Amino acid sequence: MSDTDLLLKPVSELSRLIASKEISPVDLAEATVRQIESLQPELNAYLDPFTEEFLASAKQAEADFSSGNSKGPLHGIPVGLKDLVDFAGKPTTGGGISLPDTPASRDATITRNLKDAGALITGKLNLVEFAFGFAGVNPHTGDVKNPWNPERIPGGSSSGSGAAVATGMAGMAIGSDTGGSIRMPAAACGISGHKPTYGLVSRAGVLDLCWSQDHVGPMCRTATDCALMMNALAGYDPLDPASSPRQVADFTSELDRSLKGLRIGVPKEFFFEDIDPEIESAVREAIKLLGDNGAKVSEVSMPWVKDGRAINVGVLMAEAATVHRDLMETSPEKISPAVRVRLEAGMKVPATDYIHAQRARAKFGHQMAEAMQEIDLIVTPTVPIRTPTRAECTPAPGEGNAPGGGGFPLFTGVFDATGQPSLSVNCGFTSDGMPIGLMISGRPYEDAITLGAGAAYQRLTDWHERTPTVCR
Amino acid sequence: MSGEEKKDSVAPGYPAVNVLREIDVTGFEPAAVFHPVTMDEDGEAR
Repeated sequence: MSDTDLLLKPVSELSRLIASKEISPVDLAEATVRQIESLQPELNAYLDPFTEEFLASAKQAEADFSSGNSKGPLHGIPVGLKDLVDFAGKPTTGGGISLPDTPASRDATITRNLKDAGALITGKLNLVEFAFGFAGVNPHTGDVKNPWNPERIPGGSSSGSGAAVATGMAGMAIGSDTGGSIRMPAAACGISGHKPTYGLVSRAGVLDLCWSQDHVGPMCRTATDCALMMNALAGYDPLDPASSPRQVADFTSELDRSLKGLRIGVPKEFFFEDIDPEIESAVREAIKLLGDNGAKVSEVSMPWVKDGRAINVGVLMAEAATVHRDLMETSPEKISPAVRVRLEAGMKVPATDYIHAQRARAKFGHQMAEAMQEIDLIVTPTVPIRTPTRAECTPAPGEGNAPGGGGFPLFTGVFDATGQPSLSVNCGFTSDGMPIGLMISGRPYEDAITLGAGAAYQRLTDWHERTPTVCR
Repeated sequence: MSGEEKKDSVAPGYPAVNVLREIDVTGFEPAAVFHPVTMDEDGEAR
């Protein structure tokens, strides 16, 4: 079996192979290192691979297994961290050059959770500076390339996470999502990415972008893998003021459920208006497949949903500018022009607009909850347009905004504003060979149902098993 | 495309402010700490 054949297996299968001693954690780690060394020059997914520490942790995992001390399904599985997550002893750059390069003094809560589950940290992954952008272009760290076509964007801001998981440079990865930064790269790179219900996964030790909308979550090859990772990540954390005290569910509990009886709502408005016809066709085909296999599909009217992105951005701009205010005042030249323009814009948002946005968000959450009383899930495209080129999404020198790709984050931000769970899975390819994302969004705290629907879809299709061009 | 974000006159790069300002928010307060809204079987928000 080639390294790629092994590394593109889902975590659920790798875990089974380790448990049955068909492969060892060291075998898997060494194959991962070879894959990183082979593909990193082309894809630029990593900022700092922890090769030595990673291999050492694999040897420890192997010793654990030899002594009968298994820690569960993530034990021995390679996981990459978006470089806004603290790992003790390593600096957290946030994809920029402006933060102190002193090593983090302690692990983020989620880093600790992953270590406790036996996962092996591969290193720090590339991202959009401060996670503030959708494209995955970054003048400080270099662009991440899309593994299906290096001229196209990988999506962002969790760009390195998307490219690494798609190519087996990591078995799974951490992403963060404030306007779609887990689901957009998941869609563009052809993997599965889950934005959990707000508050389920701790943000402690994760660089802030927008306190009230930052979600941290899993990026994996399958929805099942996302559920396995959620079981390790989620839980109340007193270090995060927004952490939910609700009892955490078993996120794998709905993975084997039938689609029968599941009520799927397809919005009449906004999500299918003037989108790319090939994306619409693939998503509608996926919805038909879900219906043909037992789900009860109905159209739902939610004309107010068009305001979601405006609310998402209205809150995001002001909070992001506040997060980075000191930096903007002391050394703005260290921030890339595109991100600086966004922060400057946020600095000019009047308090009245920010508060209005939060009031609109409260109303929006009520409207969404009311609309979802009769349905379990909303199914839509993840993004409305084809994956643009990196050139289209790169600002001219000295400019803040790029000419292309503006519609890319239009849909995902809706579910950051509401805080409800939202999953993107691959549902096909455009005629130019780029993956298409299907977005499945559930009711708050019903992440298990959302993930279960994704897993059911992936039992019916094999889009998630395709091999990216760069790996062939 | 329809749904294109409107540009505003307050700050470049701050899209959709006009859309935002047009939303009637009467009766809604900003949350001190955000929590997702759920609804019980009687349609009461929690």
